Order: sequence, then C-alpha cells, then structure tokens
Amino acid sequence: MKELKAFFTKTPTGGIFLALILVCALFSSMTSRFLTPTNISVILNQVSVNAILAFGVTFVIIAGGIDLSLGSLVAVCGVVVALLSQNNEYSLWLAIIGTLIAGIALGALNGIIVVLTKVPPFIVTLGTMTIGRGVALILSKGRPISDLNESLNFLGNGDLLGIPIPILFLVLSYATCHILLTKTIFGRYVKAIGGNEMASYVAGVRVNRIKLYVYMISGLFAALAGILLTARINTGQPNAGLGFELDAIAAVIIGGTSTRGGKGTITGTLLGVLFIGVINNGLDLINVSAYWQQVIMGGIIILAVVLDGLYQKLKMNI
Amino acid sequence: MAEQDCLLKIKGISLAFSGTPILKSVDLSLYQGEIHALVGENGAGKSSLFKCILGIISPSQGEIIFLNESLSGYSIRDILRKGIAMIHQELMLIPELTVAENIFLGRETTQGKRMGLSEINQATTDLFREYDLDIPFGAFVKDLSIAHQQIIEIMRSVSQKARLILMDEPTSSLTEKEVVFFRQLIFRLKSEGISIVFTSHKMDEVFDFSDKISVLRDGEMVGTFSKAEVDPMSLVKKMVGREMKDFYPNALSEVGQAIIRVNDLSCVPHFEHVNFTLHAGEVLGLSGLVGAGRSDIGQVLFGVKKKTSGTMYLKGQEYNPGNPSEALQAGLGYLGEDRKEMGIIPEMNMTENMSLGLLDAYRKFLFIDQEKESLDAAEMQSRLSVHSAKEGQRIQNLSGGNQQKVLFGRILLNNPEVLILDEPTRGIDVMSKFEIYTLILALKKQGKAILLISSDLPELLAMSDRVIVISKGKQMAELSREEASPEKVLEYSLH
Repeated sequence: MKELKAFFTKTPTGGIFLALILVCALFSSMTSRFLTPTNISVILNQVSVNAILAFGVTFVIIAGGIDLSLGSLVAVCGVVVALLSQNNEYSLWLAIIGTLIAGIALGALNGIIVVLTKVPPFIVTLGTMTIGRGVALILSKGRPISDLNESLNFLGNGDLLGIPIPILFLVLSYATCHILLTKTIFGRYVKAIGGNEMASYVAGVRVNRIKLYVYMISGLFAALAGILLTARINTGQPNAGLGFELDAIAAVIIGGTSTRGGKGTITGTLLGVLFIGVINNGLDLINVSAYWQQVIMGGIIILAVVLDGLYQKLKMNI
Repeated sequence: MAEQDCLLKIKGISLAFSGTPILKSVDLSLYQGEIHALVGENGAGKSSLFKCILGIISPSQGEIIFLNESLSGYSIRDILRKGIAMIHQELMLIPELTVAENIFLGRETTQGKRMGLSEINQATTDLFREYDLDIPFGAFVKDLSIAHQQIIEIMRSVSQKARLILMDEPTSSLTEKEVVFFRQLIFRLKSEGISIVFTSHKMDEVFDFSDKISVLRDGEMVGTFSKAEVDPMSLVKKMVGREMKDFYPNALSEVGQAIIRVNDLSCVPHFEHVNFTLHAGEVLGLSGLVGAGRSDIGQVLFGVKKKTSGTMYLKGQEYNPGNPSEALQAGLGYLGEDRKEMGIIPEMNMTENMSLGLLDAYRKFLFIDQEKESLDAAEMQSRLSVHSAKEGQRIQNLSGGNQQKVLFGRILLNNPEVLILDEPTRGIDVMSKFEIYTLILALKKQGKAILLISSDLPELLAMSDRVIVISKGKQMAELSREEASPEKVLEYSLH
C-alpha cells in the first residue's frame, strides 16, 4: 500500500496514470465491450501513429521548442514512401530508408532555420507546416498514390506472433526514446537547454547542435509515422496527417511535459497518448457522436492540465 | 527611549512550517526615525519575520503591535494602509507603465475623487522636487536602471505615508555610486521620522547605515545591539554562532609564469583597448561600476562574447575561443555574474548541475556513466561542503550559497588552470562567503590563475594581488595590492 501511494505521489507520471485508470474504470462500467483483449489491441493500434509522433516531439518540447510541422511531415513522408514503393520500382528497404532520411532532412531544415535565424520555433514550424503541405501536394500532383508494394501493406496491417506491426513499432519507439532521454548525454543536455539555455551554453553545452538534433528526431519519427499511415491505408495521401501535430502536442502536455521546457518524460507522453486514445475509443463504444467527441476531447485536455496542476500542489503536502 | 516612541513591538512570535520551526519566540522593538539592520545567515528567518510583520503569513504565537495596536487579524492591504511598506529584493513595478503611474498605481481614486493623469504627474513632480530626485515622471519604468526603479518603489511607499519601510537586501544590485545615493535617501527619510528595517550581507553597510543591529540565527533573536557594542568580527560571530579567524583569508603566494596575456583587446561597445597579464598563483581583481565593461572582459575570455579586435594569448599561444565549450577545453573555468541566468538549471539536481557541459568525461558509448558521475559529484560536495537536505533535491531548493558552491564544483570538476569568477559571492550568506574566500585562496596556492570580478569593494581589495579599474569600457588604472585603497579605486571607477 505504501509503495502504491509512493508511486502515485512521487513519480512525475503518477497523476496521469491515475487518470488513465479512472477513465478505463469508467468505460468498463458503462460497456462490456471496452475491457476486452481485442479492444485493447484496437486502441493500441489506433494510437500507434500519434504515439510515435508524440515521442519525437517530446524532445523538441523539453528542449524548449515546438514543432507544428509534424502533420505536414507525415504527409510528405507518406507520399515519398508511396512514390518510392510504387510499382515495385525500388526495394521496400530502400523506400523505407529513403523516407526516413527525408524525414530527418526535413527536421534538420526546421532546426537549421530555428538555430540560424533565432525566429521563435512556433513561427518557423508554422511556416514549414504550410510549405510541407504544399510539397506533399506537388510530389503527388494532388492525387492519392496507389499500387504500392504489397510488403508495405504488411507494415500497416500485418502482425508478428499475433502482435500487430504498428504496436511493435510503438513499443520499439517508446523504448528507444525513453533510453535516449534518460540515459544518454544527449537526453541530459536536452533537458538542460530547456531548463536554462544560457546557463547550458556557458557551461559548455553545444546548444545549437542539440537543438538541431531534436528537430531531426522529430522529423525521423514523423517519417516513421508517415510510413505506417501510408502502409495502413495502402495509399499515399497528400492530405494525410492534417492536425496530427495538435494531437501529438496535446498528448505530450497531458503527459506532464512542461511547455516551458526543461522537464518531461517519454512514459508520460505514452500515458498521454493512451489517455486520448482510450477516451476516443470509449466514446465510440458508448455511441457518442463524432461531433460531440471533439467538444468533450477539448474539454478533457484543459481539465487534465488543470487537474495536474492541482495534483502537483497536493503532492507537496503529502 | 521612552515606551511611547515605540513604533513597532514584536512580542514572542513563533512560526513553523510543517513541523520545522522558522521563528522561535522572537522579540523586537523599533522606534520612530530609526534605521535598523536585521542580519543573519540565509535561512535565519529574516524574510519570514518580514512576512509576519506585513501580514502575509500569520505567526502561530505572539503578537505584533504597531502604534499601540495589535496587527493580528488585519489583511496585507489594511497593514499597508496603516503605514508599513516593503521593498522587495525583486522589484514589484510594472515595466510598461510610467514612473508616475507606478507610484500611484491602485490609488488613482483616493478619497473618492479620481486622479487624472495630469494630477498624478503633478503629484509625482512635487514629490521628486521635495526629495531632489532627477527622474522624469513620464519615463517608462522598463527604461530605468535598477537603482532608479528602487527609488521609485521607495517613493511609492513615501507617498503612501508609510511610517515603517522594510527593505530586503536593498543594496544587493546597486553599484558603489548608487549605494551612496541610497544612503542619502534613507537618512533623509529617517530625518522625517520614517523608520527603516533592512537586511544586508555587507558588513560595511550594516555599520554605516544603521542605528541598531539585530541578529537572527536559526529563527532565534540573538539580540539587538547598538553600534558601540559590536564590531564586524563579533557580529559575524553572532550570526554564525562560532569563531571565524579572519573574514578575508589571505596569504601572498609565489606568483608563477604568465598564463593569460591580453593585448589591446576590444569588444565594442562594451570595452576597448584593454591590456593585462594574468599569472599562475595570482588573483587579479577587475573593478568598476556595473555596466563599465568588467563582466564583458570575462565573457570575451571565456568565449561567451566575441572580441572585435586585439589579441589574447594563453600560455604564449594565440587564443580565441569560438564558444564556451572551446574555452572549457582550453583549460578555463567561468562563473557567471548572475547565478539564475547564467549558472544553474533550476529543475536539475546537484549532480546534474555539476556535470553539465562535462559529460564527455563520463561517456560510455552514448550513455552516461552515472555511477562515476555521482561519485565525483559526491566527492566535490564534501570537498566544498555543499549542504543538500536530501539526495536528488532540485538545485532551486538549495540556498544561494549552496547553489554557488555547486557551480564552483562544476568548474573544479574540469580542473582548469584559469578561473574567471564574476561576482562569486553575490547574494549569499556570510558563512558561504567565508568558505568561498578560503577556496579561492586554496586555488591560488595551487597555482591557478584567477580573474576576480566583483562590485563588493572590500572583498575585491582583500582578495586581489593586483586590481585593474575599468570605467566606461576603458582601463583606467592598474594598482598593486598596496596601492589599491578603496578611495583610489572608487576615484578611478567614477572617472
């Protein structure tokens, strides 16, 4: 009991974890279709794209930045992987690696502009968001790209030992990002520059380099998300990923990462993603209309952050 | 003094936060027209005492009597109206409003009649004329110096007819020249019967300004003394509760070879044509008013700012760091002027703050060798006696003195040959100051070359082997330890 209390009060993600358990309990009591192995698998599958995006952008936000271009990068990379795997022209591996490199390059572009111009990242990525959308439309000539390599479809809809591939990617991405943030020099410096950029610079941290890297990571995971999305719908869609950046950022914030930078966890982000996913899924199951779902979702995001603030205060007194 | 002159009487107030006693049955009497210094180490309870007087927190025991009336049960606003004002260390002005608007903020409708902009401006002009202040009433507060902003706050208290003004480290961000003006102003207030209680870590000011000195230690009132009863040494002893041999430890050591040579160095618009040599085993003091360019010299040496012309040599080799990381690798260490801005990462703990920028030494492939990191930090912690309440505590919850020691730890972990220390003891308690002086001396004995930048003149003169005086970006004088008297340094600074 003591350990349990300590978990909820001492760990930074205890609050969101508690909230997740509460909504799960709520939906289980309302419908028997919620807490079934199939539905859990469905939820994880549904959230995988958002999770992968959110893991990447967590680094950007902890470093004190923001990346609004995520959704557009998903579209560009989705179109790129579709073009590369159309009509079996190139091998699947080449298509995937090429797309991941494209994602890193686009992220690097964000990073370079942020570092060189000192324009706030909000503005820079707002610009590249629009540019990216345009590029996706140019590359695809405004049309969906079909006739894709069949093995690509496997990435989106297949499974390995009964586990859907997107969920495997989710788990892999989670582990990689978690280790990167908590165990590596890079992760420590990401938190440092988000906590106090000037102090980090004076202490000898190569601030610009770290900033560039976080946008590259964000781009890499956007590319991975784009590949999975294209694979799932078996088409390269220039209009894919619209508004994805907002879902990802919402998950990061619900997961306890400070928008002012300096602190946050990948586990928190995962819980934030699951929280959003569970609510969407649960509202579907109890037949709330899609219109009302949006209203409820928005309210919950605000509520979650408000409650987390109260909870943090409460924790101080326990 | 007769009992009826007593303005404020504190009778046995006690206060505790979650079981930890902060104030233990504190008594204090203040008289009209008295300047009273409240001294004690950080955490001794000075700020808590101020908060009790202002009604921000209510004591668990005891009573505060102001003008023969108990203040218990009154709100902060009521207490302000009764004539107690506070000047906080972080000033509480609205930068985007004018001087006059700030002074009358929240009081535009006094006595039922609304004061228009012209009335406010007129009232401010009259007030400033009365006090011989040369600050334009229409200037925006954001364009004023810290010293002027502080005067605006004091004037706000005066215009509110304050009888008692509490000031928390009022001189900590002022230059020598500004302190002189500040002194005149508080003596003027005193002559009008206004009482002032202030805190300060600077002994010379405590003795210069005050009529009486009260000492708090660990929440207890050690006593109230007149200036005749104590001297700086005995006062420090009362504050820390033990003997200290000499506040500024010093010993001349062998000065070694030249480590840094600066030739006609300029960083326009901050400073121009600076020349000096810094030797191993030497403390070179850089003196000057705030904004004279002394901090910028340190920043150029450490690669934070870029030189515009001139040359720097490190052990005979030309040296021009592109960024702090290069300076670090070249064997320099740097302590920035402002701990909050250029020093600590508030959310991180002691260990993470110490190893910041030095993690390549703890690299295991991509990962941090956290075991070795904690071990080194712990060793540094005991060497510098950093007091951290519990393991993993965030540095923002440590006292200023301990934060500063952690930053010293960061420098020493890299074992530099040259240390650039900008305001190493600003805003920290007496005991930590003493420890830092001892440390600087030990480093000097080890043969480190130390560039000391400080606005605390007694400190600078006591610690330095030579002093360079900078004024308005120009090098005015280089004085030996014997030549460097406070008067002489100040004269060159004001040149």
